[in-house]
Amino acid sequence: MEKKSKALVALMLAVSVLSTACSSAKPLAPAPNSSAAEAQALDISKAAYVGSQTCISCHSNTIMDSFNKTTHAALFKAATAYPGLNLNQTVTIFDDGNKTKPVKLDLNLAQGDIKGVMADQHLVASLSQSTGFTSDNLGLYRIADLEKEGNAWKLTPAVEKDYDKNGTKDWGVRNYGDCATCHSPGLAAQALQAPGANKLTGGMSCETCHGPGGVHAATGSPAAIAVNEDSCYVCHAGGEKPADLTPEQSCLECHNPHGNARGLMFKEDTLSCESCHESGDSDPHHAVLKAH
Amino acid sequence: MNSLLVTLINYYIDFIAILFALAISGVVLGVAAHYFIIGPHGKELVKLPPEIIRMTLLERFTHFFRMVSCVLLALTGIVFATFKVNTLGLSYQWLLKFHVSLGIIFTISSLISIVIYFKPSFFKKYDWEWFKYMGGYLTKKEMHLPAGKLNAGQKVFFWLSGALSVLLIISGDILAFPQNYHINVAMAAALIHGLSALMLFAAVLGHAYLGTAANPGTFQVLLHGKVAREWAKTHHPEWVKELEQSSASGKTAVM
Repeated sequence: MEKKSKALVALMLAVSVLSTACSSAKPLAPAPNSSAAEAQALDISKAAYVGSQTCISCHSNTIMDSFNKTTHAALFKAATAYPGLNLNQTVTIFDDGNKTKPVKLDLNLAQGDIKGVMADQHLVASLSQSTGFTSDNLGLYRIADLEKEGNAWKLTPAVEKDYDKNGTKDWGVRNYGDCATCHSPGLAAQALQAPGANKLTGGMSCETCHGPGGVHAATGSPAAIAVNEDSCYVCHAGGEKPADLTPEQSCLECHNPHGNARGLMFKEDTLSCESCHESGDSDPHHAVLKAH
Repeated sequence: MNSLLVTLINYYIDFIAILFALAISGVVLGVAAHYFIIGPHGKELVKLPPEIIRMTLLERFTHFFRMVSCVLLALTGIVFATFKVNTLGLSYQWLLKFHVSLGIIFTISSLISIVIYFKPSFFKKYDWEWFKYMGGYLTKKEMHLPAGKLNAGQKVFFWLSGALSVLLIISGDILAFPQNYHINVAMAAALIHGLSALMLFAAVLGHAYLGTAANPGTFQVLLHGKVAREWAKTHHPEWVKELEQSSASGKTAVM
């Protein structure tokens, strides 16, 4: 090999090593100027949902670890998360919401469109209108309640009534669509989305609060994702910011919806109750939740 | 504009992974089919000693960095586009820094390459003869088609890769600092970046095949910068003529 070629190879190696070293040492970008970005007009309501797995592809998965311990994450889970729950059974159900005439259906749970379990209490399934069950606007029904016996879970009727007037109690199912908006908001949005569109997952997920993440995932733009307290009010505080809070005060000032290592959403690491309230003072902005 | 871009981004997210898979597998299958059905040309040229300087030190230097950065950018870019950063156990912040650092190397080496090969990439009349027979690549017969320092196919590759590189560099800069741009600009940049990368990587794979297995004796030029006289006469006869004329008139001493 000629001297020139040897020198060329040595130079290339040196530049490679240098560039790698430089790439890991320097900070890349300034902190996002989200205030300027948020000021830009943007409509991402038609953006695709990408799922929490896509979110944690870039964001730390420790967020998901702590979120999974919060009460938000426990709002709606897959039926498979309940040991001993027997879905290999057929139940004869009646539409409790249909007050004009009894509508009956033999539902094989293994073949049904089971969506999951709300708050460890209600087994939720989707029933098409062709079954005759039409009382729920989203086609979502509380098919059964869950009870824990020992370490195993079992199903019981959501409501028991004598629908067909034959002297015996029947297995009634209740509407879930109205509950879904808050108790499994992803499921409500899923039912409302057009067929074929990307779906928001059943329970609460990143995109439940942050909005559809497609544009943000593709661009990395902070303007393409919701980071504010607006989504809190979809379910909490009666749908609007409590009058007790000043305009400067925000839910997110005291709460981290991602939760901490213990799964608590109150920022206990930096705040205490007395940070905002005098000792013995009431907690007016939580009154709505307590009453509910 | 906004809703159109959002719709396009939705399609982009759904299909970019499969487009990459189709593009890469398509080129690989096409290349394999060409190699086994038609095969390489000028196999005997590989054994000839290198005599003529074809690539200067600067050309080899920039090609090396453009090649390495392009491949690593494509691989890391595919990881981003398919949202597999966490699945592969990588740090997003580290991978982004690595990707952008590679982008800087790619930018510098691409711009130097564009300057170096700009003039030799102007099409000449004899290039149409090369196009007419597609460089002889569609037949097993050895063809000696007219070509200057760059043949017509290489000129096409120059303009294509140059244009795509510029698009990638500009859109890449926007995506590295999306907070500084309007969301519509960022969305357009995302679409342009992904689709340009897709086309460039597919073209680069074909370029790599043509520079190695399809034309024995070519790849070595990246190491020592020289080619055999017969290789040059076979693949770039007009260039050899130009060199001989220049040498005869005393303008250059590259031979």
